[in-house]
Amino acid sequence: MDSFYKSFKIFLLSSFLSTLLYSENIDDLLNEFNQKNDTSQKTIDENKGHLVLYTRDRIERMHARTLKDILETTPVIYYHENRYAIPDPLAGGSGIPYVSNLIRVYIDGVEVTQGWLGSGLMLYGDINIDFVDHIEFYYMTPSFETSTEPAYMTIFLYSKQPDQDSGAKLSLLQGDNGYNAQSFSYGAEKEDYSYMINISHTDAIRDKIDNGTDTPLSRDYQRTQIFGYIKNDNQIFHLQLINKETDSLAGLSWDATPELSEVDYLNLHMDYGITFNEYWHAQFTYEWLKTNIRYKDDTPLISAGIPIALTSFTNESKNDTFTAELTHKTTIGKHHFITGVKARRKKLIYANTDEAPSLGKEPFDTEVVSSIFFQDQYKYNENNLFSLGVSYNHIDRNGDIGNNDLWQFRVGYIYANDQWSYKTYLYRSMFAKDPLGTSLYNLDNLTPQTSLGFTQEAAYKDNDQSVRLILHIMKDENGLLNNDPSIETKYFSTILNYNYILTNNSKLDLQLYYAHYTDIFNVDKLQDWSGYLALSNTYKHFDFYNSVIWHRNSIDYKDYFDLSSTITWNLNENLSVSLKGENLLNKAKKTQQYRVDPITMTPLSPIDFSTSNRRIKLEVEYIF
Amino acid sequence: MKKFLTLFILCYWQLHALDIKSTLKIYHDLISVITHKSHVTLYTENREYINVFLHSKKIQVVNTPSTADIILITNRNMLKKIPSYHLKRAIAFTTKYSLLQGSPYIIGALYRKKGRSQILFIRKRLRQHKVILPKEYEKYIIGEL
Repeated sequence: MDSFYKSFKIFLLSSFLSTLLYSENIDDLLNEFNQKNDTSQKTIDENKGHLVLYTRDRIERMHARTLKDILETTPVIYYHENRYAIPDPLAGGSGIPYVSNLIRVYIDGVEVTQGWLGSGLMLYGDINIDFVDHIEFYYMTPSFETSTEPAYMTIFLYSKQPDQDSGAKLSLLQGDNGYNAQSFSYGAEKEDYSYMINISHTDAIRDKIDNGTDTPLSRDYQRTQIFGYIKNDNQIFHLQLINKETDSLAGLSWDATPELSEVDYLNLHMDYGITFNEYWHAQFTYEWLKTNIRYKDDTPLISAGIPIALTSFTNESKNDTFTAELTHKTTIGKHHFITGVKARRKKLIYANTDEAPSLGKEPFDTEVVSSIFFQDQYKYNENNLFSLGVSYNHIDRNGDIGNNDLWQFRVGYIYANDQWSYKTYLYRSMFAKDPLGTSLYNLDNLTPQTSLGFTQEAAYKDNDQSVRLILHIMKDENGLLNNDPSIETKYFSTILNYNYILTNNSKLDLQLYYAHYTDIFNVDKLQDWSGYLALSNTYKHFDFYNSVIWHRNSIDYKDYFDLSSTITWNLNENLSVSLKGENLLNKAKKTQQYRVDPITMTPLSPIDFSTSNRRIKLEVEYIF
Repeated sequence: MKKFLTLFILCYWQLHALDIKSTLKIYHDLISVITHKSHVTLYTENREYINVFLHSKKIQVVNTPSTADIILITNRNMLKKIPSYHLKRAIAFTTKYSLLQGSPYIIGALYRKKGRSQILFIRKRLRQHKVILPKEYEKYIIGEL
């Protein structure tokens, strides 16, 4: 009886204390703790640009397993593949090898590139992201602190940390038509250091695309990737290895009827970063890429619009890239200064071509990029921040391809209080025309693409909802491929985001995007609309995620819908089973690939295809 | 003005500081309902948590587990080092699900799983320490792992 009264008194006391001292509900406290301690909150840099954030929770609920799954939902620049089946969001369906070098990819703050070939997005645009904790997209000329080469958009992937993801995790995924993927991760914290490793393999068997022959176009690939790091308080070493063997869609076939179209990639990335003290940080990166190309057709092949008078073409090339950077940060009064020097050397170290086509000029095989930047963030008070940035890049190439001197300027202002924020930037950016593309096109002395832009962002948030509007106008002094000074390409785009927390376990995400372009890619006017609506719920041991992505443009005013649904059953803390349906309506956005009859040189009807296949995937995840 | 604090970040791998305000709020609540005391002593070896609790007027960080009301275990090494009689005497709590699973002396955990924070208590272990949690905590209590 005594013990009963004792327990009862303790219960009463406990209830009293809880009510008196801590009036907030534990659910609310947990929600607040969750939001404020999300890993992404530690890496977001409001001054990097206009941010689109994918938190760990959002990635998990989306059941996004590749960067492609994420890029399909981003505004402005969304997932595309070019005629070589390479992730190339800015691709317009032409035969240009690669046009998305203005988008740069970073892992844990370190850029990954394909060296001589350009942006890391080429190979990393659809990588397995099982090693990733959260992803930040910064739009519209991000701050110069992170970029060695100028960028229009930067994608930051941040890896999982052993303090939150220690131990092992195994994931087995099986899709219909033989699509399958496996991933294994292991992370540990030791006394003085921690490490994490992820190994994954993807056998992507994708829908074939009818080209009117018995051999439809294929874009299947097999990819094995290894990601790992070891770190202590002030040093980190990353190692990434990707081996990708891919069917290369239309490749160099004029009429998109190749008899053989394959490209293999073997890519190594290593970087070492050290922070000497609160002021100085150094970073060294080495990257190596081997590419093996095999194309065959019954008619002459085409390369970037130029007939190469061959019906088969094989090429093996290797290139490496070394990047070194040193940055200094200091705060004097209300000013926070960041200065840095960066140098990157890209070298084509080996190329073995069966019969090299003549391009009419001496190709370059070495490119050296030297950069210096200065940035001042003036914190007027707790709510107002002004920023000024300037960056100079000198690009030096051998061969007949010219050098470039590029200047970037950006001024910005940020206001924020607990609920409202406003952000604006004015910038002038210069981008080098893609040297590989211009060499293939045999274009001489292309002036850098220069843009003048102005952006504004206004946002409001409270405990239940957040809303944000971004407005962006930009004028190109010369276009991506159009160097005619009489043509003035202009852009206007706007993004509206609305997030609403229905309950602690139910969230709604809405995103609307509209863009208006004039004089782009020889089109007088282009309008582009897209939308994204997602609803996520948790009920007992089940997570649900339903989303629809909508696209429409003024070329054909056709509406495309990509409907996806995921249900995850968390059997216990260590085991979960997920079922995901992608592109369930089979009405996802399609891309056009242009083609030409190689005999008569007359245009053929373009091939329409979607990068998103209708697919069901079953995945089992086990943590041990 | 949290937003501006993040302007001066250094490098990703160095950034794992806990948000002091929200961390203190939830630990004040948890510790209050577990111990029924308005002032407690706590032992942990984790520098981030020590830094957080140094801002608390209700939680006093101590240098040895022998004088602690609460022992907060944040990694396996710490669990191995602390003698089990300390874990039996004081109330042991953890930030890792795997440690809650691996040690019978730990009564509960506040941990992250797939980017979401979770609270979990084991009923049998609560009883051993004669801890009765308020009704609103009932959904965070499970019979056994």
